[in-house]
Amino acid sequence: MFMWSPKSLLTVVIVAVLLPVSTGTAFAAEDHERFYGSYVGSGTAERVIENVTEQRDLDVTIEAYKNGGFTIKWITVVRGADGARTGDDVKRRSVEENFIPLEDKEDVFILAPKGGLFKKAELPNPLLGEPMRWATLEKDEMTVYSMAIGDSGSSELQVYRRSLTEKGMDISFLRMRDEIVELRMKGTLVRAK
Amino acid sequence: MFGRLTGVVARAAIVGAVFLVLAGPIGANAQTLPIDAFYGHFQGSGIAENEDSLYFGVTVRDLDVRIGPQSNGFYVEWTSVIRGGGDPNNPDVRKRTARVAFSPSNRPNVFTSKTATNAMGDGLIWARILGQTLTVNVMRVSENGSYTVQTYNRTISGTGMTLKFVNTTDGEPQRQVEARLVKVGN
Repeated sequence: MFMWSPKSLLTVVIVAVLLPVSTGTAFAAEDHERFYGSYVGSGTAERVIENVTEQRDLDVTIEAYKNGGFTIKWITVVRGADGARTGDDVKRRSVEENFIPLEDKEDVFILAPKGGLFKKAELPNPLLGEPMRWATLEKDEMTVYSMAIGDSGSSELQVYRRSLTEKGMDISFLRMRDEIVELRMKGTLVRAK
Repeated sequence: MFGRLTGVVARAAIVGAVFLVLAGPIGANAQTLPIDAFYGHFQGSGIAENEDSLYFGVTVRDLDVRIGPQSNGFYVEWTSVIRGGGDPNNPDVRKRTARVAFSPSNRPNVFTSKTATNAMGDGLIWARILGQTLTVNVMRVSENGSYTVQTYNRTISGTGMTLKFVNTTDGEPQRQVEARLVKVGN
């Protein structure tokens, strides 16, 4: 007859305790692994209030981050008035952000805390002037949201949607102040690696 | 004759100047009103529109708003009776009431609700006064991470209040209500 040794019992208990956690993390990671890669392309932005259209070069990289999270790096180059990339009026913006899973919402991620390894991930409070950023995954869409409340109580909301395509990624972005859309952008990127 | 004309022009100029002085505060740079300027009981009707309104009609809403002092801040209580949808001869009638208490924040003219401070949980509710308009925002993030913001702009006018309500989901305005309300009580 089979008898459990103290060592095998301990192994079973450890596996039983760890299994649900590691399985959950693996599922969460699988969802966004499909987005991993580097993408390059361009887009057209419309500054709605000024009625100005701009061409933008876009560079997006998505990669793994610790604790089942992911990192998004993106570079946006706003071309000059003549559409060139070399003039003095060319603007460049580079952002890198790490997202980690939110405990009680599946496929929802929040910005990883910057205060060190042991700092607890807490939701910022926009009413205290802290911008809140979060990301969601749904099928082939990864959406990054941003919400901030200014000193006068007006809100700024951003929605940055990245959808996987056969060749790479389609993106759409909009920025609102209160209920007025100020900026819209659409772009197409191809997967570079 | 010219003297009489000059007098008329001068009087018109004075009347115009007085009008401009009086009209000034109502313009774009109007002075921000204190919260007690919004206190009262207001009633009226509005039309709700969405992107499909042209084809599928609109709904009529009877609106009832009470704003008054509470503790060191104020409360807003609003009731909507919505008539529309269903059988055109016997439309559905729904009633919704909400009451939120606000306290001053550490920012001037910005007020927060103590019971709704987490956008990922119960929601985030805040109010602000800009000029003659009291704006109440109700923001919620759903289970799948998308968000909705309901914005109620209430602007004080001569006989009462105008309301402009906008419901925005993921950055796209979905539904809008514009209404004129009359002050029926303090």
